[in-house]
Amino acid sequence: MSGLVDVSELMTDPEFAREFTRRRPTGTFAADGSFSSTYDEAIMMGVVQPANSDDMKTLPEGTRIDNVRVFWVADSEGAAAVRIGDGKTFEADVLVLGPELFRVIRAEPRREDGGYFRVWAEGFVT
Amino acid sequence: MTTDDLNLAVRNLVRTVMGMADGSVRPTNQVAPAGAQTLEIATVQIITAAELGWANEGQIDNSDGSSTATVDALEEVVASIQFFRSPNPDPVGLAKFSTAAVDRARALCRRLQLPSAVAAMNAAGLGLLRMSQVRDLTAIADSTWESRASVDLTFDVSTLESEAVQTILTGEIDLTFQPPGNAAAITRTFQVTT
Repeated sequence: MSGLVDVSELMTDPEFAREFTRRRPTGTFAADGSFSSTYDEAIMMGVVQPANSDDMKTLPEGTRIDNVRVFWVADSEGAAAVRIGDGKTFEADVLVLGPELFRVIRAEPRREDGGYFRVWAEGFVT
Repeated sequence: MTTDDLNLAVRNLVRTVMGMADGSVRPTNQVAPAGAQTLEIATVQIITAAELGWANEGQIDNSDGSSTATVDALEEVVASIQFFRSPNPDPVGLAKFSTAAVDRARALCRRLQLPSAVAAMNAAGLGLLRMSQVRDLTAIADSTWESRASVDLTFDVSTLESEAVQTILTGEIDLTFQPPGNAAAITRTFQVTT
């Protein structure tokens, strides 16, 4: 049953949300078994926050909390919004926020309140 | 051969010998999705490389008169081959417990001794020395059985290294003669070519 308030509207509201780029990895295996990655890019809107101590309880052991961002992204942003790799058929999305790059390490769907994702992504250096 | 070249040669060998699908024999440790639970794959990793004895030294005389020094080194390289999974799901699609990967690794050891495999190794510059015991590494992965097995193959590999030798191709020699008496010295210059 849907919630009474569609919270997902906040995630595309310019007063709360900001723009970032989602890079979704795709790729193919050559006959010799080597994998070539390519990335499909999509501009998205979402609310971005630094991770807090509650988030730390849900993150893998040893993750540096100051390097993790929480993205709130509405389903309406399309194509399963943001996703973590399943280790079998696809790899995790990379989110580009200004000059910084973040790899999605956890995504929690919230279908009940209008349809959005709460996503944790860890920064990395290229 | 670089490690990547070796890995590629062994991957192509395993794929050909085992009749596996294109793209199903892969290098280890690449960022890539592994595929569905019932998709059979194998991985190859070069885990050790050791020089055998002292390299055979040689020299190549080039047509322009220069020389190239060479060492033809013999290496013993161990490639670890891992087989994963079995194309045998239960009625809802979950992978069942299976010894398929072990059987694939055992079959590889036998099939490498077929004439076509020996020809493929000769063409790739690989000399098969030893095959290890096949290890059954079947384990629970993602809450279901994943059939896994490993075998190490030891190959002889010849690798040629070379460098240019410092060579004098041409030079000038000045000779100064002092005639008797107070006559002026005479200088002659000669071009010498090796």
